[in-house]
Amino acid sequence: MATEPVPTVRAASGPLREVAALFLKLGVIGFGGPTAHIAMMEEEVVRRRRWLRREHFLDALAVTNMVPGPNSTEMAIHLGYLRAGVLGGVVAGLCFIGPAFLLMLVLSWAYVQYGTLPAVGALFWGVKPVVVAIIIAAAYRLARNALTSPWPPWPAWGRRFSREARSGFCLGPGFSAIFLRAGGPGSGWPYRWLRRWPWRWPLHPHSWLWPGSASRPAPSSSAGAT
Amino acid sequence: MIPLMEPEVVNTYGWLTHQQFLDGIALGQSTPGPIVITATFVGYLTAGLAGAVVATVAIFLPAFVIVLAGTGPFIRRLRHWQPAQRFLKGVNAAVVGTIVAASLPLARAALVDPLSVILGLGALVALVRFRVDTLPLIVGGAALGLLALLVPGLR
Repeated sequence: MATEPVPTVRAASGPLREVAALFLKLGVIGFGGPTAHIAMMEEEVVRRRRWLRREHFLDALAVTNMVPGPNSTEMAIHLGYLRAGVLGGVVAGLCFIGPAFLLMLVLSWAYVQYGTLPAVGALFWGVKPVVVAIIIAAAYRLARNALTSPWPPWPAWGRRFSREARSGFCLGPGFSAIFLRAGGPGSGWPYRWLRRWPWRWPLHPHSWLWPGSASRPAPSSSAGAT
Repeated sequence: MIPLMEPEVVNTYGWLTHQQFLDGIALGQSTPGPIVITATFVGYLTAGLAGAVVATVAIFLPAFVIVLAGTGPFIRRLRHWQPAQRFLKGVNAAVVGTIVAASLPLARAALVDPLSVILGLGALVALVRFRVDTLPLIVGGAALGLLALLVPGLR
């Protein structure tokens, strides 16, 4: 009888056991609400275990946010599913909810018996700052991945800045343009357009605002901007 | 989901009083895991153990169905579809914004005295620099909280 459970545990595939272990852990230490859960999942699943790339984690998070239901539970099911299939999703969800369910049963029973809430507030005084630290660390990593967009075009600004620096900081139209119309209309396409047809420089908005710039060579030419 | 639950439980069905429901939310927030576990409390107070089980299954079942039959398989296909990726890029930025926004009130509630600020900074360094696991950090924080409870001069 005693040896009976062992083969069934062994029979569970590796990923499934990993999913169960991880989400039981998160179900036990997951204080602080959905935001904290998401942060802990990112910490465990992406940073430590590398089950999936941060981009894919963010995609799952975005989709989860767009459907109704408890976000962090759905995220747990998602991650379990991506790791170990449908069964993995079920196991992840149950393991994540299980500890809270059992604890809540006990607390509900105590509430009915004694009619008051247990004074646990002081216990969380030490847990809360740790949870905030976990959230800040994860939010920073997620922001670095999520906030990459073609606008504002930092690399383009850098290129333009270095071009100005090489030409000796004339503080002419190009340099001011970094700040005045950086990334706005005309930051991308006119340069490409002008590089292809340099004779169009007089048509560029630059040359209307700063008349001297009409004589500037196209940015792609290596002759220098003087 | 809690704001949706309240009028039904308190007004429509009258299972719980307003105060009982507030106590249930407080319990849901003080347990680890999902906050919607408040449904277990509502079920238990309404119909005992069976009520708790039914309420919990009913509130979480849609999440399983939605993810395993809907978004889960869907998201794998999305990875190779460029327009969806661009769309998700926008949503991702907003999601990160909501995480930061949600963390601000948490931080204000957590960092209440100098010792808690030191604890938070220490946890951040341990987490990022030394890659300490979250489990000992949380347990350590709880132990410190217990210690602060027993030693009144600590805080």
